[in-house]
Amino acid sequence: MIRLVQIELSGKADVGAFRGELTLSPGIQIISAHNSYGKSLAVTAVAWCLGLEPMLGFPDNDATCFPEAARERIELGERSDARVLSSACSITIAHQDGRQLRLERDIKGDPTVVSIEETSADGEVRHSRLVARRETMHDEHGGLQRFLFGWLGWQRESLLTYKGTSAEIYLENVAPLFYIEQDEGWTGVQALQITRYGQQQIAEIAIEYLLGATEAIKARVARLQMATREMALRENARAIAERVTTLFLRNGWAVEWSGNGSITEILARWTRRSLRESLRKQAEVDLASQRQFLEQQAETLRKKLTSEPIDPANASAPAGASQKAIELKMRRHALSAELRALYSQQAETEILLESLSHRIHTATDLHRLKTTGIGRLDHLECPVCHRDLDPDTFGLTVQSADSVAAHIESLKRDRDLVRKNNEGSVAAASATRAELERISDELREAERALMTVTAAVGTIREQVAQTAADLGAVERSHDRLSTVIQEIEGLQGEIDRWVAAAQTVARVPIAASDLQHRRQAFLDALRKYLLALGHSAMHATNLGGLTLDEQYTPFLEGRLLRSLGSASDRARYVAAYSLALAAASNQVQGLHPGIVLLDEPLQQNPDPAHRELFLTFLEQELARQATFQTVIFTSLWDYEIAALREKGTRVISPEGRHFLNLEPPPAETPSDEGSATDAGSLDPTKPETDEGPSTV
Amino acid sequence: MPNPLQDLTELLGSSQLRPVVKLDRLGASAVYDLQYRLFVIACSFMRHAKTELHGIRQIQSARLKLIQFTASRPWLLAHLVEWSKSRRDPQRSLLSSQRFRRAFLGDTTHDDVIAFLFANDVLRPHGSSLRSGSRDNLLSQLNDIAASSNLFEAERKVLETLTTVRITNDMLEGW
Repeated sequence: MIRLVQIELSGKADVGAFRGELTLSPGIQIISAHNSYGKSLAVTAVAWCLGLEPMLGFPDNDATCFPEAARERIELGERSDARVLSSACSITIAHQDGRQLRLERDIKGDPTVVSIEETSADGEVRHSRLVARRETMHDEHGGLQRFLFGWLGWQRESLLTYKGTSAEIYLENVAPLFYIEQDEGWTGVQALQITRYGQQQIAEIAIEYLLGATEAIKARVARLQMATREMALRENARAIAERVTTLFLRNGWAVEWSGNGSITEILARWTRRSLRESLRKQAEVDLASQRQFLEQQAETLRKKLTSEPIDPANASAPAGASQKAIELKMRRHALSAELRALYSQQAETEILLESLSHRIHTATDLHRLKTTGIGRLDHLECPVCHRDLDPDTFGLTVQSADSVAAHIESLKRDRDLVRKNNEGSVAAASATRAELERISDELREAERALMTVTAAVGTIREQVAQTAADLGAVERSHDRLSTVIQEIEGLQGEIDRWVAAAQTVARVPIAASDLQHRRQAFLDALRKYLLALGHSAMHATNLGGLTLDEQYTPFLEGRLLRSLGSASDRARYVAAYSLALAAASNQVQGLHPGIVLLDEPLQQNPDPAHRELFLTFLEQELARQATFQTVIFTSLWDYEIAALREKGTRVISPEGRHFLNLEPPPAETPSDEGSATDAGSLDPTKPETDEGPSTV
Repeated sequence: MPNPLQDLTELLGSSQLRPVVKLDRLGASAVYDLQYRLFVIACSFMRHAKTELHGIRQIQSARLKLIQFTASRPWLLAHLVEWSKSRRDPQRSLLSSQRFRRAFLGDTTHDDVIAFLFANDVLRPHGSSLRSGSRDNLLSQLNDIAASSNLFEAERKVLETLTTVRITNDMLEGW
């Protein structure tokens, strides 16, 4: 665990050097100063020195996240618009093991580099310069975040992005849980979370990381990777199945080869039998036998053509060729008629589907009317006798919402049925079209054969021509079949590769994690803090009703806690969440840095009750005895400061009008040490007075 | 002539199958709901009725019946357009209007709703036409609700398209 020891800003203006510093203690403390004092400068300096400007919505190295006083014009002494020549800020962090770290970064100057002064537990000092934002995690020697993660003893976690690539968890992903900035920070839990990096489930992962549940993160990432891989596999399975179906339909084979369902289901189906086996089983097509048959037929015809005797008295060749062409023509005609009927059926089905869709839409609108009450009929009565008019009298019905819902369900069932029928009809049309093409090819060949046979002179030539034409047709059929077999083998290869890949996914084990007790610790702490902060929806009696969902979103008795209570409860909700996470992490030895920074919690709602509740919380043991450091920047009235101090809560109320002040000329400074307690220094070791300029 | 119901009865009788009717899975079509019909009639009337003297709105009864019938069955719009285009060719006109005539004659719900609106004095009969009654604000209210709540979008789209389709008295005759 670490704590902030000092925040410092310094620079040079055209009127001289200026500086301001804030020294912090362990535990809870309130920095109370009037508006425009410069509290935001100090708060921003923390984010800036840690290279967290993307979290505040600014581009890398863009110092405009600071107020103008730190960059352009500053009010110093008598001058209200002194020009800033250079400026920088630094923070000092102390680790609980005795190590200390000072990070300094230019605001006006070179903001790309952070100067590091690292002091070991035995006092050894080491200086280095690290790059603030470029390759901050990947640069082993120069990356600031790489260094900070190492110094803090935080392990790096590889996450999965929405693009399917890997990304790490960054400091700006976890900081929104302990750095609550005054503008957006209070609008919701992790309001400053950066989603544009595209890490999947980053909000949940950030919480688990701070709770130290790194095994749970690994398991989560493994699950995500598996889901991504499964999605890709399912997509691939659908594409393969589509190609298989197209191939089968093209050849007129009715074989079901589906790529739908879960990986396990597809795997079970695809490993049960191969494409060839399915073809044999479902369409009774044995490719090997067919090929063998064609080869035998070709061999027989070749023999007939080359060596077998020819009967000169046989005059049946022209009649046979003619008969074959006629049969094929008739078959083509029948198939064309069948195809027309199928197309017509498809067109009718399309209209039916359109009508069903419309009726579902209408009934859904009507259901909306019935359930929401919009457009409900007013009391209708006869204008003459003023008696109620019952629609039943007119043979009309007013349906109930349940009846309309039942109608919608039945329409949806009809639509599904019609869709399935349509799919069957489309498949049948495809198969018929394929058959028609095949028959057309055969007819062309038969017509060619007929022409050759009729052109031949004499029965011998006629028979030779017929045999030659038959041989040509058989060889072409053989070639076609060989091509189809090759295609099927290619697809079978793809299926085998898919099966192998799917089997490895199914076998990936996901390690169990110790998340449960960390989660419970967080939930317990959250209950305590919500109650202590006075969230209006929380009472001692309903604490047990508070639960966390999978995304760590709190629900109270099944309702979203964020949407319960008053407007000022939003700030209490955010504060409780951040403080509870720090407390829970501390309890379960998590990775929380041990600092919670709350900027202007009282400005979120000017209502006096909210202020009162927050001040009451600060006086409580829960706030004062917290082992982590809580730094609150706000403005308190003198009597509020006095009351808090009386209860033992540390309040720092600085002297002077502004955080940044002119430094006395060097000649007048007796020693270097003296300058540390100049005006503008917020040192808690100095005596604190109630008469400080803390009035708002 | 084949009788499918008879075929089904015989089929069921010849097997061990026992027909079960689940009433909870049956729901009357929304087309027969009074509220729905009122919305469609209101939108049809407001879009297609002509404003006469003293702000009274009027429409031919048969025209309203045809318009609302088409509006609640948008897939028939193409057939109506074809019918309208073929009005000068009696044979084509007869062929393209068959579907309408057959279905339209059986739609008595519209007549019942009109009778209901007469009884409430929302509409008044005026010869072969319908006129707005003393409570015609019901129709404008329903029309406004449909537009503001984005209800029955397909029906309203058809009503809009029908403003460009010529519906002659010849087409309305016999109804």
